[in-house]
Amino acid sequence: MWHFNKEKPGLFRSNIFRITAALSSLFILIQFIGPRVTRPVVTHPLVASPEVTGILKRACYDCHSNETRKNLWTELAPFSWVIAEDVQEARSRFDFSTFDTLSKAQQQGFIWEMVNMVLDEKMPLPGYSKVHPESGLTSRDISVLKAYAVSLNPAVYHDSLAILDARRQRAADKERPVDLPVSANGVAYSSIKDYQHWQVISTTNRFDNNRSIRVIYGNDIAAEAVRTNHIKPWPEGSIIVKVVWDIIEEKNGDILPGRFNNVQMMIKDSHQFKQSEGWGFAKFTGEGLVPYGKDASFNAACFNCHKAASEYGYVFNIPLPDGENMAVNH
Amino acid sequence: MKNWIYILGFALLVTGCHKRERALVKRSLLNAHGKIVYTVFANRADKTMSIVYIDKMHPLRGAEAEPKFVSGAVLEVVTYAQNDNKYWYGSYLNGPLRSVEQLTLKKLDSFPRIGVTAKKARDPSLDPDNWQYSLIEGNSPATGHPHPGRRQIYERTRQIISKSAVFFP
Ligand code: HEC
Ligand code: HEC
Repeated sequence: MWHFNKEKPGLFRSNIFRITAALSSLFILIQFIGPRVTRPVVTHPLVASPEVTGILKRACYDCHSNETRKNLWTELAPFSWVIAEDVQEARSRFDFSTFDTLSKAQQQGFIWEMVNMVLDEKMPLPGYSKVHPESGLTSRDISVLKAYAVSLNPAVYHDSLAILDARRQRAADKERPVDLPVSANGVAYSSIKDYQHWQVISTTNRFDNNRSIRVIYGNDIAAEAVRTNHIKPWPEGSIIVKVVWDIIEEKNGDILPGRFNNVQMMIKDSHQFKQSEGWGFAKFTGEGLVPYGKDASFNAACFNCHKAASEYGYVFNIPLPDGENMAVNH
Repeated sequence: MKNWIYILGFALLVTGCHKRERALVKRSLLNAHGKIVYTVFANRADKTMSIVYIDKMHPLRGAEAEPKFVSGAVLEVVTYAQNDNKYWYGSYLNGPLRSVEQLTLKKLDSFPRIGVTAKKARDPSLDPDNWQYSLIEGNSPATGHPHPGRRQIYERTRQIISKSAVFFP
Protein backbone atom coordinates (compact mmCIF):
# COMPACT_ATOMS: atom_id res chain seq x y z
CA MET A 1 0.00 0.00 0.00
CA TRP A 2 1.06 3.50 -0.82
CA HIS A 3 0.45 6.28 1.68
CA PHE A 4 0.49 9.87 0.65
CA ASN A 5 2.04 12.27 3.07
CA LYS A 6 -0.78 14.48 4.25
CA GLU A 7 1.40 17.37 5.29
CA LYS A 8 3.15 18.02 2.02
CA PRO A 9 0.87 18.06 -1.03
CA GLY A 10 1.78 15.09 -3.22
CA LEU A 11 2.93 15.18 -6.73
CA PHE A 12 -0.57 14.55 -8.03
CA ARG A 13 -2.05 17.36 -6.01
CA SER A 14 0.37 20.12 -7.01
CA ASN A 15 -0.97 22.96 -9.13
CA ILE A 16 1.68 22.39 -11.73
CA PHE A 17 0.48 18.84 -12.09
CA ARG A 18 -3.14 19.90 -12.39
CA ILE A 19 -2.36 22.45 -15.08
CA THR A 20 -0.17 20.04 -16.99
CA ALA A 21 -2.78 17.32 -16.76
CA ALA A 22 -5.51 19.65 -17.95
CA LEU A 23 -3.40 20.86 -20.84
CA SER A 24 -2.43 17.33 -21.81
CA SER A 25 -6.00 16.11 -21.85
CA LEU A 26 -7.01 19.17 -23.80
CA PHE A 27 -4.16 18.46 -26.20
CA ILE A 28 -5.34 14.86 -26.61
CA LEU A 29 -8.93 15.95 -26.99
CA ILE A 30 -8.26 18.51 -29.71
CA GLN A 31 -6.59 15.82 -31.78
CA PHE A 32 -10.11 14.54 -32.48
CA ILE A 33 -11.65 17.82 -33.57
CA GLY A 34 -11.02 20.62 -36.05
CA PRO A 35 -10.14 20.54 -39.74
CA ARG A 36 -7.78 17.85 -41.01
CA VAL A 37 -5.49 17.62 -43.99
CA THR A 38 -7.29 15.26 -46.35
CA ARG A 39 -5.62 13.39 -49.20
CA PRO A 40 -8.21 12.55 -51.85
CA VAL A 41 -7.10 10.40 -54.81
CA VAL A 42 -5.18 12.05 -57.61
CA THR A 43 -7.37 11.84 -60.70
CA HIS A 44 -6.13 14.28 -63.38
CA PRO A 45 -2.60 15.39 -62.51
CA LEU A 46 -0.70 18.13 -64.29
CA VAL A 47 0.94 16.74 -67.42
CA ALA A 48 4.47 18.13 -67.81
CA SER A 49 8.08 17.00 -67.97
CA PRO A 50 9.56 15.33 -64.88
CA GLU A 51 11.88 18.31 -64.52
CA VAL A 52 8.94 20.70 -64.22
CA THR A 53 6.77 18.48 -62.02
CA GLY A 54 9.82 17.75 -59.85
CA ILE A 55 10.20 21.43 -59.02
CA LEU A 56 6.50 21.95 -58.39
CA LYS A 57 6.26 18.79 -56.28
CA ARG A 58 9.06 19.98 -54.08
CA ALA A 59 7.82 23.55 -53.63
CA CYS A 60 4.07 23.63 -54.19
CA TYR A 61 2.42 20.20 -53.97
CA ASP A 62 2.15 20.22 -50.19
CA CYS A 63 -0.60 22.83 -50.52
CA HIS A 64 -1.75 22.87 -54.15
CA SER A 65 -2.27 19.11 -54.58
CA ASN A 66 -3.83 16.13 -52.86
CA GLU A 67 -0.34 14.76 -52.21
CA THR A 68 0.38 16.79 -49.09
CA ARG A 69 3.35 15.12 -47.41
CA LYS A 70 2.81 13.79 -43.90
CA ASN A 71 4.90 15.06 -41.04
CA LEU A 72 4.40 15.68 -37.34
CA TRP A 73 2.89 19.15 -37.88
CA THR A 74 0.37 18.14 -40.53
CA GLU A 75 -0.98 15.53 -38.06
CA LEU A 76 -0.72 17.33 -34.73
CA ALA A 77 -3.41 19.80 -33.65
CA PRO A 78 -3.46 22.75 -33.31
CA PHE A 79 -0.71 23.08 -35.97
CA SER A 80 -2.60 20.78 -38.32
CA TRP A 81 -5.63 23.11 -38.18
CA VAL A 82 -3.68 26.03 -39.58
CA ILE A 83 -2.07 23.83 -42.21
CA ALA A 84 -5.38 22.23 -43.20
CA GLU A 85 -6.87 25.66 -43.74
CA ASP A 86 -4.00 26.80 -45.96
CA VAL A 87 -4.15 23.57 -47.93
CA GLN A 88 -7.88 23.86 -48.44
CA GLU A 89 -7.55 27.46 -49.60
CA ALA A 90 -4.64 26.60 -51.89
CA ARG A 91 -6.45 23.62 -53.47
CA SER A 92 -9.55 25.76 -54.01
CA ARG A 93 -7.46 28.09 -56.19
CA PHE A 94 -5.91 25.32 -58.26
CA ASP A 95 -5.09 21.71 -57.54
CA PHE A 96 -2.32 19.91 -59.37
CA SER A 97 -4.14 16.61 -58.71
CA THR A 98 -7.10 17.71 -60.82
CA PHE A 99 -5.23 20.22 -62.98
CA ASP A 100 -5.94 18.39 -66.22
CA THR A 101 -9.69 18.91 -65.81
CA LEU A 102 -9.13 22.62 -66.52
CA SER A 103 -9.22 23.90 -70.08
CA LYS A 104 -5.86 24.39 -71.80
CA ALA A 105 -6.36 28.16 -71.59
CA GLN A 106 -7.06 28.02 -67.85
CA GLN A 107 -4.02 25.81 -67.26
CA GLN A 108 -1.77 28.20 -69.17
CA GLY A 109 -3.16 31.16 -67.26
CA PHE A 110 -2.30 29.49 -63.96
CA ILE A 111 1.19 28.47 -65.11
CA TRP A 112 2.05 32.09 -66.00
CA GLU A 113 0.59 33.25 -62.71
CA MET A 114 2.70 30.66 -60.87
CA VAL A 115 5.90 31.82 -62.53
CA ASN A 116 5.12 35.38 -61.53
CA MET A 117 4.12 34.54 -57.96
CA VAL A 118 7.42 32.71 -57.57
CA LEU A 119 9.42 35.59 -59.09
CA ASP A 120 7.64 37.95 -56.75
CA GLU A 121 8.46 35.67 -53.78
CA LYS A 122 4.77 35.50 -52.94
CA MET A 123 4.79 31.70 -53.39
CA PRO A 124 5.50 29.29 -51.80
CA LEU A 125 3.94 31.05 -48.81
CA PRO A 126 6.79 32.73 -46.89
CA GLY A 127 5.87 31.03 -43.59
CA TYR A 128 6.13 27.65 -45.30
CA SER A 129 9.48 28.39 -46.92
CA LYS A 130 10.95 29.14 -43.52
CA VAL A 131 10.14 25.69 -42.17
CA HIS A 132 10.81 23.96 -45.49
CA PRO A 133 14.11 25.31 -46.78
CA GLU A 134 14.08 22.55 -49.44
CA SER A 135 11.13 24.32 -51.09
CA GLY A 136 13.29 27.30 -52.08
CA LEU A 137 13.61 27.62 -55.87
CA THR A 138 17.02 28.18 -57.41
CA SER A 139 17.48 30.55 -60.35
CA ARG A 140 17.84 27.41 -62.47
CA ASP A 141 14.46 26.13 -61.26
CA ILE A 142 12.92 29.49 -62.12
CA SER A 143 14.45 29.40 -65.63
CA VAL A 144 12.94 25.94 -66.12
CA LEU A 145 9.50 27.21 -65.09
CA LYS A 146 9.82 30.30 -67.32
CA ALA A 147 10.85 28.18 -70.30
CA TYR A 148 7.95 25.83 -69.62
CA ALA A 149 5.48 28.75 -69.61
CA VAL A 150 6.95 30.17 -72.84
CA SER A 151 6.79 26.73 -74.49
CA LEU A 152 3.04 26.56 -73.85
CA ASN A 153 2.43 29.77 -75.82
CA PRO A 154 4.87 29.98 -78.73
CA ALA A 155 4.76 32.77 -81.33
CA VAL A 156 3.03 32.08 -84.65
CA TYR A 157 4.69 34.19 -87.35
CA HIS A 158 2.68 35.96 -90.03
CA ASP A 159 -0.50 34.19 -88.97
CA SER A 160 -2.64 34.58 -92.10
CA LEU A 161 -5.79 33.78 -90.18
CA ALA A 162 -5.14 36.55 -87.70
CA ILE A 163 -4.45 38.97 -90.56
CA LEU A 164 -7.69 38.06 -92.29
CA ASP A 165 -9.62 38.33 -89.04
CA ALA A 166 -8.39 41.84 -88.41
CA ARG A 167 -9.15 42.91 -91.97
CA ARG A 168 -12.68 41.51 -91.77
CA GLN A 169 -13.35 43.25 -88.50
CA ARG A 170 -12.19 46.61 -89.86
CA ALA A 171 -14.24 46.21 -93.02
CA ALA A 172 -17.42 45.23 -91.17
CA ASP A 173 -16.91 48.13 -88.75
CA LYS A 174 -19.78 47.11 -86.49
CA GLU A 175 -21.34 49.83 -84.40
CA ARG A 176 -21.31 49.66 -80.64
CA PRO A 177 -24.33 47.87 -79.18
CA VAL A 178 -27.11 50.37 -78.48
CA ASP A 179 -27.65 49.16 -74.91
CA LEU A 180 -24.27 49.52 -73.28
CA PRO A 181 -23.47 46.44 -71.21
CA VAL A 182 -23.22 46.21 -67.43
CA SER A 183 -20.94 43.64 -65.83
CA ALA A 184 -22.32 41.14 -63.27
CA ASN A 185 -20.61 43.08 -60.46
CA GLY A 186 -22.41 46.27 -61.45
CA VAL A 187 -19.54 47.94 -63.32
CA ALA A 188 -21.05 49.67 -66.35
CA TYR A 189 -19.50 50.28 -69.76
CA SER A 190 -21.24 53.66 -69.87
CA SER A 191 -18.69 54.99 -67.35
CA ILE A 192 -15.91 54.56 -69.94
CA LYS A 193 -17.70 55.19 -73.21
CA ASP A 194 -15.52 58.21 -74.04
CA TYR A 195 -12.21 56.56 -73.13
CA GLN A 196 -10.72 57.15 -76.59
CA HIS A 197 -10.39 60.81 -75.58
CA TRP A 198 -8.77 60.06 -72.21
CA GLN A 199 -5.10 60.31 -71.34
CA VAL A 200 -2.95 57.42 -72.56
CA ILE A 201 -1.01 56.11 -69.57
CA SER A 202 1.00 53.36 -71.16
CA THR A 203 1.18 50.76 -73.86
CA THR A 204 2.20 47.16 -73.43
CA ASN A 205 2.60 43.99 -75.35
CA ARG A 206 2.55 40.52 -73.95
CA PHE A 207 4.25 37.31 -74.92
CA ASP A 208 2.55 35.19 -72.25
CA ASN A 209 -0.71 33.27 -72.57
CA ASN A 210 -2.35 36.49 -73.81
CA ARG A 211 -0.13 37.41 -76.77
CA SER A 212 -1.52 40.83 -77.51
CA ILE A 213 -0.88 44.55 -77.74
CA ARG A 214 -2.59 47.03 -75.43
CA VAL A 215 -3.24 50.72 -74.86
CA ILE A 216 -3.99 51.81 -71.30
CA TYR A 217 -6.01 54.97 -70.68
CA GLY A 218 -6.89 56.82 -67.51
CA ASN A 219 -9.72 59.24 -66.74
CA ASP A 220 -8.77 62.69 -65.36
CA ILE A 221 -8.65 61.45 -61.77
CA ALA A 222 -6.45 58.48 -62.61
CA ALA A 223 -4.16 60.53 -64.87
CA GLU A 224 -3.64 63.10 -62.10
CA ALA A 225 -2.94 60.29 -59.62
CA VAL A 226 -0.21 58.95 -61.93
CA ARG A 227 1.34 62.39 -62.46
CA THR A 228 1.50 63.17 -58.75
CA ASN A 229 2.22 59.59 -57.64
CA HIS A 230 -0.88 59.30 -55.47
CA ILE A 231 -1.41 55.66 -56.19
CA LYS A 232 -1.22 54.10 -52.74
CA PRO A 233 -4.18 54.11 -52.59
CA TRP A 234 -5.59 55.45 -55.87
CA PRO A 235 -8.19 58.22 -55.36
CA GLU A 236 -11.89 57.38 -55.47
CA GLY A 237 -13.34 57.60 -58.95
CA SER A 238 -10.12 56.63 -60.72
CA ILE A 239 -10.86 54.62 -63.83
CA ILE A 240 -8.31 52.75 -65.90
CA VAL A 241 -9.16 51.24 -69.26
CA LYS A 242 -7.11 48.77 -71.23
CA VAL A 243 -7.91 48.05 -74.86
CA VAL A 244 -6.57 44.73 -76.11
CA TRP A 245 -5.88 43.70 -79.69
CA ASP A 246 -4.59 40.34 -80.87
CA ILE A 247 -1.19 40.56 -82.51
CA ILE A 248 0.33 39.69 -85.80
CA GLU A 249 3.98 38.79 -85.25
CA GLU A 250 6.74 38.70 -87.82
CA LYS A 251 10.10 36.93 -87.73
CA ASN A 252 11.95 40.27 -87.73
CA GLY A 253 10.34 41.13 -84.39
CA ASP A 254 7.54 43.33 -85.76
CA ILE A 255 4.36 43.21 -83.75
CA LEU A 256 1.28 44.66 -85.39
CA PRO A 257 -2.20 44.96 -83.97
CA GLY A 258 -4.70 42.41 -85.23
CA ARG A 259 -8.31 41.96 -84.33
CA PHE A 260 -9.78 43.98 -81.47
CA ASN A 261 -10.24 41.49 -78.66
CA ASN A 262 -11.59 43.18 -75.55
CA VAL A 263 -11.77 46.22 -73.30
CA GLN A 264 -10.95 45.83 -69.62
CA MET A 265 -11.37 48.34 -66.86
CA MET A 266 -10.77 49.00 -63.19
CA ILE A 267 -12.82 51.54 -61.27
CA LYS A 268 -12.03 52.73 -57.76
CA ASP A 269 -15.12 52.62 -55.55
CA SER A 270 -14.18 51.68 -52.00
CA HIS A 271 -17.77 51.54 -50.91
CA GLN A 272 -18.89 48.98 -53.44
CA PHE A 273 -15.71 46.90 -53.68
CA LYS A 274 -14.46 46.54 -50.11
CA GLN A 275 -13.09 43.03 -50.65
CA SER A 276 -10.77 44.08 -53.44
CA GLU A 277 -9.21 47.20 -51.93
CA GLY A 278 -11.86 49.30 -53.66
CA TRP A 279 -11.25 48.08 -57.20
CA GLY A 280 -14.15 46.99 -59.37
CA PHE A 281 -13.10 45.08 -62.47
CA ALA A 282 -14.85 44.46 -65.76
CA LYS A 283 -14.03 43.00 -69.14
CA PHE A 284 -16.08 43.41 -72.32
CA THR A 285 -15.26 41.13 -75.22
CA GLY A 286 -15.68 41.43 -78.98
CA GLU A 287 -17.53 44.04 -81.01
CA GLY A 288 -20.64 43.11 -79.01
CA LEU A 289 -18.84 44.06 -75.76
CA VAL A 290 -20.06 40.94 -74.00
CA PRO A 291 -19.40 41.27 -70.25
CA TYR A 292 -17.13 38.67 -68.66
CA GLY A 293 -18.23 36.66 -65.60
CA LYS A 294 -21.44 34.80 -64.83
CA ASP A 295 -21.77 36.41 -61.43
CA ALA A 296 -19.97 39.04 -59.36
CA SER A 297 -17.44 36.55 -57.98
CA PHE A 298 -15.15 36.99 -61.00
CA ASN A 299 -14.07 40.28 -59.44
CA ALA A 300 -12.03 38.36 -56.84
CA ALA A 301 -10.22 36.36 -59.54
CA CYS A 302 -9.17 39.54 -61.35
CA PHE A 303 -8.08 41.10 -58.08
CA ASN A 304 -6.13 38.04 -56.89
CA CYS A 305 -3.75 38.27 -59.81
CA HIS A 306 -3.50 42.05 -59.54
CA LYS A 307 -2.17 41.59 -56.01
CA ALA A 308 1.17 41.04 -57.72
CA ALA A 309 1.14 44.82 -58.34
CA SER A 310 0.26 45.78 -54.76
CA GLU A 311 3.29 48.10 -54.72
CA TYR A 312 1.55 50.27 -57.33
CA GLY A 313 -1.92 50.18 -55.77
CA TYR A 314 -2.80 47.00 -57.74
CA VAL A 315 -2.18 48.57 -61.14
CA PHE A 316 0.65 47.14 -63.23
CA ASN A 317 1.10 49.77 -65.92
CA ILE A 318 2.75 52.66 -64.17
CA PRO A 319 5.01 54.78 -66.39
CA LEU A 320 8.56 55.54 -65.29
CA PRO A 321 9.12 58.52 -62.99
CA ASP A 322 10.47 61.70 -64.56
CA GLY A 323 14.20 61.67 -64.89
CA GLU A 324 14.16 58.05 -65.98
CA ASN A 325 11.83 58.93 -68.79
CA MET A 326 13.74 61.46 -70.92
CA ALA A 327 14.33 60.97 -74.61
CA VAL A 328 17.66 59.22 -74.98
CA ASN A 329 20.13 60.95 -77.25
CA HIS A 330 23.23 58.94 -77.78
CA MET B 1 12.10 57.50 -21.31
CA LYS B 2 15.13 58.14 -23.43
CA ASN B 3 14.25 55.13 -25.52
CA TRP B 4 10.86 56.55 -26.29
CA ILE B 5 12.35 59.73 -27.56
CA TYR B 6 14.59 57.74 -29.88
CA ILE B 7 11.68 55.69 -31.11
CA LEU B 8 9.55 58.76 -31.67
CA GLY B 9 12.37 60.47 -33.52
CA PHE B 10 12.95 57.44 -35.66
CA ALA B 11 9.26 57.14 -36.47
CA LEU B 12 9.13 60.79 -37.51
CA LEU B 13 12.19 60.31 -39.63
CA VAL B 14 10.72 57.31 -41.37
CA THR B 15 7.32 58.85 -42.04
CA GLY B 16 8.94 62.14 -42.99
CA CYS B 17 11.20 60.51 -45.53
CA HIS B 18 8.35 58.47 -46.83
CA LYS B 19 6.21 61.56 -47.45
CA ARG B 20 9.02 63.43 -49.09
CA GLU B 21 9.84 60.54 -51.40
CA ARG B 22 6.27 60.32 -52.53
CA ALA B 23 6.03 64.04 -53.18
CA LEU B 24 9.26 64.00 -55.15
CA VAL B 25 8.15 61.37 -57.62
CA LYS B 26 6.41 62.89 -60.62
CA ARG B 27 5.42 61.19 -63.81
CA SER B 28 4.85 63.19 -66.95
CA LEU B 29 2.27 61.81 -69.30
CA LEU B 30 2.48 62.68 -72.95
CA ASN B 31 -0.01 65.37 -73.90
CA ALA B 32 -1.58 64.30 -77.18
CA HIS B 33 -3.30 67.70 -77.59
CA GLY B 34 -6.69 66.20 -78.25
CA LYS B 35 -5.42 63.65 -80.75
CA ILE B 36 -6.67 60.08 -80.50
CA VAL B 37 -4.92 56.76 -80.98
CA TYR B 38 -4.82 55.72 -84.61
CA THR B 39 -2.74 52.59 -84.24
CA VAL B 40 0.07 51.00 -82.24
CA PHE B 41 2.97 48.77 -83.18
CA ALA B 42 6.05 47.30 -81.57
CA ASN B 43 9.25 45.50 -82.38
CA ARG B 44 10.44 42.80 -80.07
CA ALA B 45 13.95 42.75 -81.49
CA ASP B 46 14.44 46.52 -81.00
CA LYS B 47 12.38 46.47 -77.80
CA THR B 48 10.41 49.55 -78.88
CA MET B 49 6.76 50.36 -79.01
CA SER B 50 5.05 53.19 -80.84
CA ILE B 51 1.70 54.89 -80.61
CA VAL B 52 0.40 56.71 -83.66
CA TYR B 53 -2.00 59.51 -82.81
CA ILE B 54 -4.20 61.28 -85.34
CA ASP B 55 -6.01 64.62 -85.12
CA LYS B 56 -9.04 63.74 -87.19
CA MET B 57 -10.16 60.73 -89.04
CA HIS B 58 -12.48 59.72 -91.78
CA PRO B 59 -15.19 57.52 -90.44
CA LEU B 60 -14.13 53.97 -91.28
CA ARG B 61 -17.35 53.32 -93.12
CA GLY B 62 -16.86 54.10 -96.79
CA ALA B 63 -13.12 54.08 -96.27
CA GLU B 64 -12.64 52.04 -99.40
CA ALA B 65 -13.74 54.89 -101.59
CA GLU B 66 -12.31 57.87 -99.73
CA PRO B 67 -8.67 58.87 -99.52
CA LYS B 68 -7.27 57.21 -96.43
CA PHE B 69 -6.34 60.45 -94.65
CA VAL B 70 -8.17 63.77 -94.49
CA SER B 71 -6.42 66.69 -96.20
CA GLY B 72 -4.23 68.44 -93.61
CA ALA B 73 -4.29 65.44 -91.22
CA VAL B 74 -1.58 65.38 -88.56
CA LEU B 75 -0.09 62.15 -87.28
CA GLU B 76 2.13 62.00 -84.23
CA VAL B 77 4.28 58.93 -83.68
CA VAL B 78 5.49 58.48 -80.12
CA THR B 79 8.08 55.76 -79.61
CA TYR B 80 9.17 54.33 -76.29
CA ALA B 81 11.88 51.88 -75.41
CA GLN B 82 10.21 48.93 -73.75
CA ASN B 83 11.07 47.79 -70.27
CA ASP B 84 10.33 44.50 -68.64
CA ASN B 85 7.28 44.72 -66.45
CA LYS B 86 8.73 44.47 -62.96
CA TYR B 87 5.69 42.63 -61.65
CA TRP B 88 4.87 40.47 -64.64
CA TYR B 89 7.23 38.23 -66.58
CA GLY B 90 5.42 37.98 -69.90
CA SER B 91 4.74 41.64 -70.54
CA TYR B 92 6.69 44.72 -71.63
CA LEU B 93 5.63 48.25 -70.79
CA ASN B 94 6.83 51.73 -71.70
CA GLY B 95 10.36 52.61 -70.72
CA PRO B 96 12.15 55.84 -71.63
CA LEU B 97 10.73 57.98 -74.43
CA ARG B 98 12.80 57.54 -77.60
CA SER B 99 11.25 59.93 -80.07
CA VAL B 100 8.28 61.98 -81.14
CA GLU B 101 7.76 62.39 -84.88
CA GLN B 102 5.14 64.46 -86.64
CA LEU B 103 3.72 63.87 -90.10
CA THR B 104 1.46 66.45 -91.69
CA LEU B 105 -0.47 65.81 -94.85
CA LYS B 106 -0.31 68.78 -97.20
CA LYS B 107 -3.50 70.66 -97.91
CA LEU B 108 -4.26 69.19 -101.27
CA ASP B 109 -6.45 71.51 -103.35
CA SER B 110 -8.46 68.92 -105.14
CA PHE B 111 -8.93 66.06 -102.76
CA PRO B 112 -10.78 63.68 -104.99
CA ARG B 113 -13.28 61.02 -104.23
CA ILE B 114 -11.62 58.01 -105.70
CA GLY B 115 -13.17 55.01 -107.39
CA VAL B 116 -12.74 51.82 -105.37
CA THR B 117 -10.59 50.10 -107.98
CA ALA B 118 -8.42 53.11 -108.76
CA LYS B 119 -7.86 53.85 -105.10
CA LYS B 120 -4.53 52.18 -104.49
CA ALA B 121 -2.82 53.88 -107.40
CA ARG B 122 -4.35 57.31 -107.01
CA ASP B 123 -4.87 58.00 -103.32
CA PRO B 124 -2.77 61.15 -102.82
CA SER B 125 -2.85 60.71 -99.04
CA LEU B 126 -0.80 57.55 -99.49
CA ASP B 127 1.99 59.33 -101.36
CA PRO B 128 4.85 59.99 -98.92
CA ASP B 129 5.81 63.07 -100.95
CA ASN B 130 2.57 64.71 -99.90
CA TRP B 131 3.58 64.57 -96.24
CA GLN B 132 5.74 66.92 -94.23
CA TYR B 133 7.93 65.04 -91.73
CA SER B 134 9.54 66.49 -88.64
CA LEU B 135 11.37 64.94 -85.75
CA ILE B 136 10.15 66.76 -82.65
CA GLU B 137 12.05 64.94 -79.94
CA GLY B 138 14.74 62.30 -79.62
CA ASN B 139 16.45 60.40 -82.39
CA SER B 140 14.96 59.19 -85.63
CA PRO B 141 13.70 55.62 -85.19
CA ALA B 142 14.72 55.02 -88.80
CA THR B 143 18.39 55.83 -88.23
CA GLY B 144 19.01 56.16 -84.51
CA HIS B 145 20.40 59.65 -85.23
CA PRO B 146 18.84 63.11 -84.87
CA HIS B 147 19.10 63.93 -88.61
CA PRO B 148 17.51 61.37 -90.92
CA GLY B 149 18.21 61.76 -94.63
CA ARG B 150 15.63 62.27 -97.39
CA ARG B 151 15.40 58.59 -98.29
CA GLN B 152 14.96 57.58 -94.69
CA ILE B 153 12.23 60.15 -94.18
CA TYR B 154 10.45 58.90 -97.28
CA GLU B 155 10.65 55.29 -96.10
CA ARG B 156 9.58 56.08 -92.55
CA THR B 157 6.64 58.15 -93.84
CA ARG B 158 5.59 55.33 -96.15
CA GLN B 159 5.84 52.85 -93.30
CA ILE B 160 3.63 54.94 -91.00
CA ILE B 161 0.93 56.00 -93.44
CA SER B 162 0.51 52.49 -94.81
CA LYS B 163 -0.55 51.18 -91.40
CA SER B 164 -4.19 50.42 -90.77
CA ALA B 165 -6.17 52.04 -88.01
CA VAL B 166 -6.91 49.78 -85.09
CA PHE B 167 -10.53 48.91 -84.58
CA PHE B 168 -12.19 50.48 -81.55
CA PRO B 169 -15.60 49.27 -80.44
C1 HEC C 1 1.93 26.49 -47.50
C2 HEC C 1 0.97 26.32 -48.53
C3 HEC C 1 1.32 26.78 -49.94
C4 HEC C 1 2.41 26.45 -50.69
C5 HEC C 1 3.54 25.53 -50.33
C6 HEC C 1 2.22 27.09 -51.97
N1 HEC C 1 1.07 27.82 -51.98
FE1 HEC C 1 0.32 28.89 -53.49
N2 HEC C 1 -1.28 29.47 -52.36
C7 HEC C 1 -1.48 29.07 -51.06
C8 HEC C 1 -2.68 29.72 -50.55
C9 HEC C 1 -3.25 29.56 -49.15
C10 HEC C 1 -3.18 30.51 -51.60
C11 HEC C 1 -4.42 31.41 -51.59
C12 HEC C 1 -4.23 32.63 -50.75
C13 HEC C 1 -3.19 33.58 -51.31
O1 HEC C 1 -3.26 33.93 -52.48
O2 HEC C 1 -2.31 33.97 -50.54
C14 HEC C 1 -2.27 30.33 -52.72
C15 HEC C 1 -2.42 30.96 -53.93
C16 HEC C 1 -1.58 30.76 -55.02
C17 HEC C 1 -1.78 31.35 -56.31
C18 HEC C 1 -2.92 32.28 -56.70
C19 HEC C 1 -4.01 31.47 -57.37
C20 HEC C 1 -5.24 32.30 -57.70
O3 HEC C 1 -5.32 32.87 -58.79
O4 HEC C 1 -6.12 32.38 -56.87
C21 HEC C 1 -0.76 30.91 -57.11
C22 HEC C 1 -0.53 31.23 -58.57
C23 HEC C 1 0.08 30.05 -56.31
N3 HEC C 1 -0.46 29.99 -55.05
C24 HEC C 1 1.23 29.42 -56.76
C25 HEC C 1 2.04 28.63 -55.98
C26 HEC C 1 3.26 28.03 -56.45
C27 HEC C 1 3.79 28.13 -57.87
C28 HEC C 1 3.79 27.36 -55.41
C29 HEC C 1 5.09 26.60 -55.38
C30 HEC C 1 6.24 27.28 -55.88
C31 HEC C 1 2.91 27.53 -54.27
N4 HEC C 1 1.86 28.31 -54.67
C32 HEC C 1 3.11 26.97 -53.02
C33 HEC C 1 -0.72 28.20 -50.33
C34 HEC C 1 0.48 27.65 -50.74
C1 HEC D 1 -3.24 36.08 -64.44
C2 HEC D 1 -3.11 37.41 -63.96
C3 HEC D 1 -4.20 38.41 -64.25
C4 HEC D 1 -5.55 38.25 -64.12
C5 HEC D 1 -6.31 37.03 -63.69
C6 HEC D 1 -6.13 39.52 -64.49
N1 HEC D 1 -5.16 40.44 -64.81
FE1 HEC D 1 -5.44 42.36 -65.37
N2 HEC D 1 -3.46 42.54 -65.70
C7 HEC D 1 -2.51 41.58 -65.48
C8 HEC D 1 -1.22 42.08 -65.87
C9 HEC D 1 0.09 41.31 -65.78
C10 HEC D 1 -1.41 43.38 -66.36
C11 HEC D 1 -0.32 44.30 -66.90
C12 HEC D 1 0.13 43.87 -68.25
C13 HEC D 1 -0.87 44.21 -69.31
O1 HEC D 1 -0.87 45.31 -69.76
O2 HEC D 1 -1.68 43.39 -69.65
C14 HEC D 1 -2.84 43.65 -66.22
C15 HEC D 1 -3.42 44.86 -66.54
C16 HEC D 1 -4.76 45.14 -66.40
C17 HEC D 1 -5.38 46.44 -66.62
C18 HEC D 1 -4.64 47.73 -66.95
C19 HEC D 1 -4.20 48.39 -65.66
C20 HEC D 1 -3.01 47.71 -65.03
O3 HEC D 1 -3.15 47.08 -63.96
O4 HEC D 1 -1.93 47.76 -65.62
C21 HEC D 1 -6.72 46.29 -66.42
C22 HEC D 1 -7.77 47.37 -66.55
C23 HEC D 1 -6.95 44.90 -66.09
N3 HEC D 1 -5.74 44.23 -66.07
C24 HEC D 1 -8.20 44.35 -65.85
C25 HEC D 1 -8.40 43.03 -65.50
C26 HEC D 1 -9.71 42.42 -65.36
C27 HEC D 1 -11.03 43.12 -65.60
C28 HEC D 1 -9.51 41.13 -64.99
C29 HEC D 1 -10.54 40.05 -64.74
C30 HEC D 1 -11.53 39.82 -65.75
C31 HEC D 1 -8.07 40.92 -64.90
N4 HEC D 1 -7.44 42.10 -65.20
C32 HEC D 1 -7.49 39.74 -64.52
C33 HEC D 1 -2.72 40.35 -64.93
C34 HEC D 1 -3.97 39.79 -64.68
